[in-house]
Amino acid sequence: MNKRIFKRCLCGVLTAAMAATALVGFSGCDGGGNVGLTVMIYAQDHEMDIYENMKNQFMEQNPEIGNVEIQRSQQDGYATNVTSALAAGTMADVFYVEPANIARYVEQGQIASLEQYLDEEQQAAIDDIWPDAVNAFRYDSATKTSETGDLYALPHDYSAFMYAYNKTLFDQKGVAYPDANEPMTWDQFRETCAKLVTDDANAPTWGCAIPTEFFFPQILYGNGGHFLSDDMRTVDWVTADGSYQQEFLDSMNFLQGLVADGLAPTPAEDAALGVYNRWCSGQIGFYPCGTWDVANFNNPEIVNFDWDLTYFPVGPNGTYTAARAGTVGYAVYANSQHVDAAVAYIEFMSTNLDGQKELATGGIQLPNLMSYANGEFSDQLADGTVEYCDNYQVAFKYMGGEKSGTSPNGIGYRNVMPEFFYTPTTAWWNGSDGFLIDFSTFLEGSVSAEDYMTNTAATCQEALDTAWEEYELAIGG
Amino acid sequence: MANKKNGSTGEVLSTKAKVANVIIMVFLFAGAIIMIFPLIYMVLMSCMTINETIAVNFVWFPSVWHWENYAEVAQDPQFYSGVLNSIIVAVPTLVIGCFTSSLAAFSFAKLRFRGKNVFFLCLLATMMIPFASIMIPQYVMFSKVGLLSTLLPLILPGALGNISVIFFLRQNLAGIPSTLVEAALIDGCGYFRIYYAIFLPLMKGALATQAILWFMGIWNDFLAPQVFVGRTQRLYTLQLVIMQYFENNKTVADYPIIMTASVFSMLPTLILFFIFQRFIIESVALSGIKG
Amino acid sequence: MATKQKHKLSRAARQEERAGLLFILAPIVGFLCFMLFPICFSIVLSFQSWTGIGEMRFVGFQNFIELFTTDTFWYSLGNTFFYLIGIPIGMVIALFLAMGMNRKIPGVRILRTAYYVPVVSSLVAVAVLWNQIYTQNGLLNNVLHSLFGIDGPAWLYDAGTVKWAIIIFTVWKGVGGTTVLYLAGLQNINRSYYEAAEIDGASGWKRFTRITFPLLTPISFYIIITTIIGGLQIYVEISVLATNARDFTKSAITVVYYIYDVTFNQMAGARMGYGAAISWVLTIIILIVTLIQFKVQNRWVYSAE
Repeated sequence: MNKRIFKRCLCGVLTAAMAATALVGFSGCDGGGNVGLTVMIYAQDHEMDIYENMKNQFMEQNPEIGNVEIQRSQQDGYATNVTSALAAGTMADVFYVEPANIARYVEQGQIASLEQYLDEEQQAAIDDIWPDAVNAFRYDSATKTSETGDLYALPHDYSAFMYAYNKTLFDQKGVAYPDANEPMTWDQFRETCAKLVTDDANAPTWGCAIPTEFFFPQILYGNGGHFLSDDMRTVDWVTADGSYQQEFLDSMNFLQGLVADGLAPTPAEDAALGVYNRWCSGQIGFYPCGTWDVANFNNPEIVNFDWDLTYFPVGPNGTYTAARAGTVGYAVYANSQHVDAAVAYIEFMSTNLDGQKELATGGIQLPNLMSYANGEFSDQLADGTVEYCDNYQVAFKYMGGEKSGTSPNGIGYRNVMPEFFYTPTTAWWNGSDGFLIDFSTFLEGSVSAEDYMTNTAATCQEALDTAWEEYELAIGG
Repeated sequence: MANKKNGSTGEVLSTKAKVANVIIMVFLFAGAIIMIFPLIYMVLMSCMTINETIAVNFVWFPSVWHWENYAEVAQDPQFYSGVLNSIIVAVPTLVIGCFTSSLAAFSFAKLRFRGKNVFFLCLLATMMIPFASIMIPQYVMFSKVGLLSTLLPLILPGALGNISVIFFLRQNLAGIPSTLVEAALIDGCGYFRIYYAIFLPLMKGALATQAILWFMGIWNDFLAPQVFVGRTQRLYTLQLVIMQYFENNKTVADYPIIMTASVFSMLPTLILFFIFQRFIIESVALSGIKG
Repeated sequence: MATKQKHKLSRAARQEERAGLLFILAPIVGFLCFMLFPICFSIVLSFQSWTGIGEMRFVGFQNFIELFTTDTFWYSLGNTFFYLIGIPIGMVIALFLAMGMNRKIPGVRILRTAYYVPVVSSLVAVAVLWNQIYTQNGLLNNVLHSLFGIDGPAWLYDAGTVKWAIIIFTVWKGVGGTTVLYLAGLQNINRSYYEAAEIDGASGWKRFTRITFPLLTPISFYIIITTIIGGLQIYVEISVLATNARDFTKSAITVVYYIYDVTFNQMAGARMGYGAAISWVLTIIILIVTLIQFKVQNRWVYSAE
């Protein structure tokens, strides 16, 4: 009896196995349609729907190109997929790149220059994209400089890491809201934070929080400081003669002071709950807010208080308030058989007005096109057709990149591409030997700013040197 | 006489054993609660609101049970396609792989041939190489033979034998005297028949145990699928589909839906385990009595 | 006569050899097809500078020199070995569980299932879950507080607790699997041994040390070998649970995490040569550890031969 059941089971399993193998065999043969173009990206589900729509529209308008296939990868595994696809030579015609990788890909001949393929009409459309976003994908191979020269990719999106504040907490404490146009000075910022603090273990509140990776660059740049020398090859917070870069030192002390004075949670308090959770629970006055966070912050299930956008404070040496820029671009694989079609596709995805409208009103990203952003879309934000926040202009001021003299007190607004975008790797910044690695120890106050800077200067320089050496070996320079 | 004596000692022991059993049972159940507790919490979290999962004051139970998330995942065709792909990978790998592995284990344990230890160590050494360092070359190889738009890169290596299974079965056969082979040879059995008629039944329980663990390994693997089918959404295995859920919700840290997806990813394995536990444990017990 | 006998034997031996080789053909083919090229490739790679695209440059032993002079590598190696503490802990627990479950206890099926559930659940899913459990305000500390009045640390942040948090997690996740293996081993032990011991009046402890434990040594050997090989390659647990630890590179990083970090994390800034060098040093360490175990197995592993 038992044996018969066993045999029957075995038969069933074997049949299933054979059927499955057959299925596998077949699945290798499908997709036989006319694939004119392949595109490799990563996307969340709701974004994917819009990209598919845009793709279909593109195919309708360009029937000669044939079928466009979007190969969707996952952000988590994207780097692996890119590395393996490039190594095997199986890269899609179009794929996502970050500004950080442009130089390497150009030098290694992996991506095609777009210049000769763009006609006047397309060029005009591109001129309407935020210039900083477009320039992030320029590279001049002759002089080895970024942000100038040929165009190698078009922005898929352009984002800014701005500053948000908790209006409800401000109201509770009777603190005036930050000015809609004028960024705060460090002193003003500290004063405001101090008023927002509640020293109650059961229901504490703080003025601000320090998610280092997404906060320190904005403070540093907003104080006129920098990490590296202009050629991106030398750590510059400690100079060769051992003296400290004053802007850098001040920024470090500013952050440490925020924790020491109890204006921001300590790293241990951050770790206890997660600083994002504290913000969402209404315990934090100021918190960095990416353009992609806006939809979440407007979701009462996540953020159950009033909030608005404001600027990062400007240090004593700063001439502009700095947000942190981010962009991902569409590049064309150099070995593609359909470069023409690929360029047409990325131009469409980057500048097509209908697509941009769908993405922007869907809360997925801000528009790439300035005319639309400052025109119809701003109107929709203003009248509430599209839910954003009262001071939505903060985003466009940063993205427009008005360099100086625009605020009432003559302060500029800039959306800065951080320096680690332009070094061959980010190892010196967030790698296992990078600048950030012990930053929480520093914030706790057990190490002085000077010591931390001295300690990291050597290891970061080493990591940076290694990166450049490897880079030059790789591109054969 | 002997029988009677045996019976009486058995009775004396059984009262003692009963006390022992009770103590052991208490310990085992206490341990089981610890083991299960995190997973119960997983289900609880899946029914909370986002606010409750990240609340400053710890929330034990959702104030309102939100089962909607389950309906959402249950209606997603991606989920089913993930399950199907995982089955398509797991079944042929296991069926063919268990055969090749047990055959090899028999050979390594009971047959004499030159280079046996070298071969065995070579195979064992493949376990020691981190996947990170061979995945790119493997990807290049699979792309050259055009297998990347199929699930075969996930099936073929396992189907040709799993060294960890071979090793386990070899260890399991260590306690069985080799004279069994010699006796069967004298009876005129061929080597394959010796494997099939004598040793395979002896290995049945151990093989089933290994098959279950192997199945879990395949089912829960995501590094290899990420590399080999990461670009081809229709071939996503269940784990990649789950990763996609994580990704769709990571900017918000939407724990309720992430936990829902996790619960769903575990359901098929749990169900299979419930079904096969009986078969496995019984076959293990059977071979135990026989041995 | 004597020569004829010899001839016959060698023919039988030849037959046995042919069968032996034929039976291991599939795994050997698998090895040649899927492992040999990647292994050779990776060995060559460890002496090159390569980002995955373009040309490789030969750099001699530079990658190896670099890794031996980099603190991060030594920290990662130290941490990796520290995590192995979970293996003996897990084995002892599993052995007791298996012996308990091997008795005739009511509800044993439910028990078995309870202990296996963590094994069958997906690593990524439960790692995300434990991330929540380990927060200072999470499940674990709340349980500790309500049961013992202890205020626990932020387990995954504190440099002193993060390693133990990982170890607890791996034991929780793996103990069921080890228990199944021991259970399979226990049930393979011939009852007649125990019956004989019973007649001799051997105590429970003696039965354990003289029968159960020795006869389980082949399984124990298998468990030790495979869990150490696997344990030295621990990666997913670290990447999901430990990356926010204070002083991560000192307190929690493992070798394989380091390999992934240098090879892939910087988006095609991939230092594949260096990554390959690290992985080969790790492979050699695992190989040495395994060979030592095979060498000493004669002293403690029981065999019927």
